[in-house]
Amino acid sequence: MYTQQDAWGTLIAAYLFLGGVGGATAAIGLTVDQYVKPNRRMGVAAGLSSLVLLSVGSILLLVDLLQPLNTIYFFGNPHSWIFWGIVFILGMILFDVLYLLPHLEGWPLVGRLARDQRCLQRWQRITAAVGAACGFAVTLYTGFLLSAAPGIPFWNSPLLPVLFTVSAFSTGLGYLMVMMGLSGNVGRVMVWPGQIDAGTILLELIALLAFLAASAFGGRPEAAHSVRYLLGSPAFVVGFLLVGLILPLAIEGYTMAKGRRGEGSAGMVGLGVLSGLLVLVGGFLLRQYVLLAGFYVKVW
Amino acid sequence: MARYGMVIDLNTCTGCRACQAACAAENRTPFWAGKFRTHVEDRTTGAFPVVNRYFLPHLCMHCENAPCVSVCPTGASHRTEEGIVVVDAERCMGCKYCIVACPYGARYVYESEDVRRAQEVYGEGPKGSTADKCSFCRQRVQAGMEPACVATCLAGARIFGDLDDPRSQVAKVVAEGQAKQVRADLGTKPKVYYLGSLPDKEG
Amino acid sequence: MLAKVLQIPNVVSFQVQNCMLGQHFGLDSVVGSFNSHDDIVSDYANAKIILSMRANASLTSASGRTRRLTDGLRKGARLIVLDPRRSEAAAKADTWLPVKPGTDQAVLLVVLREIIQRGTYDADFLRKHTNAPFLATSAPQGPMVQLAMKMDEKTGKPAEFYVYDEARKEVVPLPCPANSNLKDTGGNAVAPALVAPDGLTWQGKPVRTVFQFLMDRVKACTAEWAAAIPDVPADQIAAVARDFATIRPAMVDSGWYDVRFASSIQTWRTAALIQTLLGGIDKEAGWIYSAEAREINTNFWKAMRSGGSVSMAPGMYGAIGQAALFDTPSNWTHGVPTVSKVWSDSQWAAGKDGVAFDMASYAGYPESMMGKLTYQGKPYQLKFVFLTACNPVRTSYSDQTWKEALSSPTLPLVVSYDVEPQDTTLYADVILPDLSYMERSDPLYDAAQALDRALVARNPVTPTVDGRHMLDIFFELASRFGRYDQYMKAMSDFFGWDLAALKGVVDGARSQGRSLAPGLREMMIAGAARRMGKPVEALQKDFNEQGTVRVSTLEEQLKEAGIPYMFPAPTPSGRVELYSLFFAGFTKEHGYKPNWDPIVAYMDPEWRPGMKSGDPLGEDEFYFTHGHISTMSPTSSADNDLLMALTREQGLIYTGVWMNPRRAAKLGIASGDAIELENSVTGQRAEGRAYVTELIRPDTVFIASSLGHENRELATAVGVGTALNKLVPYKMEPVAGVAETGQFTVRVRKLTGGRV
Repeated sequence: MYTQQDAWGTLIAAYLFLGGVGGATAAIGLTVDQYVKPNRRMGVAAGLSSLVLLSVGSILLLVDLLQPLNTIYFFGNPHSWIFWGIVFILGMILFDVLYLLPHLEGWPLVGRLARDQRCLQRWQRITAAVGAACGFAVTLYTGFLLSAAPGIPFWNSPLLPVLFTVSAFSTGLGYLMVMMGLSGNVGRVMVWPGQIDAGTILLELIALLAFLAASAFGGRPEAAHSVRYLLGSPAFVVGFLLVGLILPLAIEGYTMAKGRRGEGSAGMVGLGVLSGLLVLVGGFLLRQYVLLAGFYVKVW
Repeated sequence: MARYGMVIDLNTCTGCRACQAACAAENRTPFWAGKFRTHVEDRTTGAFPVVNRYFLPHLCMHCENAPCVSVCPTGASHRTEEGIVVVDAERCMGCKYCIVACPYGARYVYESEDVRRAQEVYGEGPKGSTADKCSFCRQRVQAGMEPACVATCLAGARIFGDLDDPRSQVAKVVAEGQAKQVRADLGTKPKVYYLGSLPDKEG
Repeated sequence: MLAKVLQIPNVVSFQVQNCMLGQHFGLDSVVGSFNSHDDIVSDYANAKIILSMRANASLTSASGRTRRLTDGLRKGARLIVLDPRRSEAAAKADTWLPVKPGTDQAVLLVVLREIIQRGTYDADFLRKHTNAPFLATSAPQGPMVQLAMKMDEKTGKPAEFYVYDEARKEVVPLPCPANSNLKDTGGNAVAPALVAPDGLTWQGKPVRTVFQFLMDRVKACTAEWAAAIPDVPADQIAAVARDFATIRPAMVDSGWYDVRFASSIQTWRTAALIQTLLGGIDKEAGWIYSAEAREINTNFWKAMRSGGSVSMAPGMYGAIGQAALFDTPSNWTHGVPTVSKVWSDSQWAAGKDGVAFDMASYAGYPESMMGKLTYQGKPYQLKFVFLTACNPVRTSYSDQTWKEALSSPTLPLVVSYDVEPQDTTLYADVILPDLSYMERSDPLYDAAQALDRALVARNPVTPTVDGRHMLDIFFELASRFGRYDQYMKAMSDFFGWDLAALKGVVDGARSQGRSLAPGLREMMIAGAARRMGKPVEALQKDFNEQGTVRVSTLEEQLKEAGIPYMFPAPTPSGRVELYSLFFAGFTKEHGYKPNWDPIVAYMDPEWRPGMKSGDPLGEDEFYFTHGHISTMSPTSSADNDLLMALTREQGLIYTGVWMNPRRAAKLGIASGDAIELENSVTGQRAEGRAYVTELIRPDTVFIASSLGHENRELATAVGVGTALNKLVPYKMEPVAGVAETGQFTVRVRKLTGGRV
């Protein structure tokens, strides 16, 4: 009875996911390094990762486009969220690079450029701030992109950007946990990213509940149908809700309960990496299924 | 400048699909892929013997507040001076935002596979892959003719004209108040009006 | 023409017996037309109430009738549709009676009776221009009614009829043929009575008028009598009858695609009787003769009056003439008449049903192809079959019969001349390429279904194939058979073309290896220009720009040549015939049958031999009906990708077997399931996919009749839909060989894992 959208598929889900992870990783990493506690290794890892993540995401988007060469016209309509998305992504990439260069003085090739541009060192707090702000804007954009489409009532909700942004931050934290765990940055991996992520997941659950409730009972039958569709999809219920949200929350809660006693042990690090991976998988599934659950408004 | 719109008379549409055929031939659309710029829905409601059958022509509403226009990043999807919403295939980057934004299901993707096939079937087609939809046959309107679907409809179920011209039939019918818009509550300000009863629910 | 010149008494072309002959012949027997879907235009645009049945696709597809009907609907006309399913026309109707297939006649008889009971018939018209006032007697036994007539000994045709003159209070003779009953054979004024006084006799026999006999026939046809037959509540039938009998102007749709039942002809006879009682013949809101038909009729009667001759006889006169030509042995140098005549005669001789009117009938052809027909003790074996623009394997009865016949080892040569690969070309030894209508430089012709007179000369597009125009092929054949000059003369005589000019065109084209068609077209346009008093260049320009040119308006034609107001109708009596002399002739030749009752006979549908209308169906048994969808014609649209794409877009509502959910549930059938239909009388089978819908009666199934093509060259058509003629037997009703495509019930079963 309702028509499922089939214009935006897995490539777009991946693009939204990578935009969320990349944007959040940059926002968190750059802000922590320059404004919380200097951590050059983490800042570089976060900055480089978000460049790669967003570049891959952008390539996936270009592959999905029918006429990628016509992206040169992207400035054609400032009313469109895609226009702003491209602006924020480009902005993030630019300021991310400017922020990174001073940290890369020891690197071949790039290091020379960094050394020559001393001013970048002076401005690093600013470039980090702008880059982080753009990264945050990218995560917002992925939600607003969908919510601005009146053709699909399920997406057309102000709660969707909230959900996507919170989820993006959760995936960013999850990514940092995986990165730090694998890099041997033992001892610290579960402390701040893990604790904050636990809190973020709780927020995400609340946002998800609010969003699904509003869709199911908000008086728009197509949105209610979307909720039924999601709750009837094992990949969403098991893959996203259980494995992508509840399980990492439980793991993080467990490690928090263990306290300082467990800190630094291989097991704890392993659990940290695991919960980070689960959050990432869940983040992708959320976007994939929100897209799949997009049913057009029944006008006739 | 004109403000073009249409009135569809549901009382006389007999579901013959001549409009779909005329449109496909005139605008060289990929019918072989089941894609048309206009559709005539065949809807059943009720149960025998109290069963009804409706024919509902769907097409682009050429909305005055068109979501497809506001979401298009390149401005390929835009409204002309005469109120016709068109896609500039040479600017379209194919992000498909317009397709998910349209509440009336008026758009489809003219894939590169379709473009290649169009060369075989029609001898020409769009230069490249693009989002596509009804253009009120702008090429015909500019030459003083009616859109192909209107000109071909034998039941006289499609009427086209300038909503701002009080002498035109569409303006008169709309002014009488009998013709209704579909889902005006969505705020799209559609310019295609319907005479006759729209069925409430599906059987 | 070619057949006559080559002395070939067998012509196989577009086959009316599987299309509209049942409907045509019913109307023809009353109003005298033959090709009624071209000869008569129903004026839907001006009627206030319209009764329609078995004509859905003609009224709701992309056709001129759709334009006229919707014009009428827009003006507030009320539409009543009889149909077992909610077809497109029924969807537009104000009143839809969901009748059982084949039971429409019962409803029509109620309407007829209502008009008579209320006296709302056009008594003036009936008196003046029909044989309603003619005196008649009952046969000593049986229902047959005999007209009081005096025969012309030389011609064997009626010379006088009799009516009761209300002025002189006596029986007076009327001339035959004539368009009016107002003057007797002596030229004196007559006031013909519709109802004869009690006890009237003629030549010692008690006589009553045809109208009185008709009244008797319908006396018992009340809504209560009818209701159980179509299974529609009596009050609904009564309401329809009341409205139709009182609202004016009223019109019965003249119909189209109906060869479904043995009763089809009498059903349409009934419809034509209603229309005649309404006086709705050749006037606004009625059945208006097309301009071409009227011109042919006018020329014919003018010639008759002046002792001249014409090459084209109107309506049934032309048809009877053609049939007689092919049926009469002495018309042929070899003395052998057409296959269908030989077959029919052998049937009658064996006490079985032949075909009384066999013009262009396929009766007997399979037997002749398979070596099973004899004439005067010798085999009548067809050895060479040339099929022009026809597809009998798919569009005639029983595809199995045709496949066997065309592949018979006794038939050495089958040639198919066609525009596309279709199911019959699979059985041809040689295929000649035709040009589609858009590629043909056709000679000038009259616009069909047109009220104003208009000529059409479409500019052809450049052909996409190396095809040949039919006339090029025919002249070549005539030449190779040594009859070139005879064919040239025959064409010149029939079409009224100047022989020298024609020869110039044809010889010139052939000597240069070109098609003769463009030159012929120019010649005809020049002729038309002369007749219209217009310069050729101007006329050519009009044709180039518009494709059609108006020659005269309806008003002008009606003023001068209304039928039967100014000129007789093309019936034996010249009047509109409530009593059909054609049908009386069949009785004389072959004995009485209700199928050709000259007034009207109610025929129960009898879906299975012996089955009465109240008898129950089996658990898996359904009545069967079929009809066209707007996107497909019987053959020539099968390779049209665009039309096929539109058909597939609609899916099962177009391509599936319609079945009501109540019955489908009991048989465990859901939409999309592969199912098999079996003709419960003959065992013939066909497969399809179910479409479960509330739009149809629970006791009936429906299929679209132009699908089910098998030739794999038709890339988009193969595998879509169900082929109608896999279920239709090689069995014809006796009047005109109509194919009876719905005269059976089907048993339905779900196919498990079956291929469709």
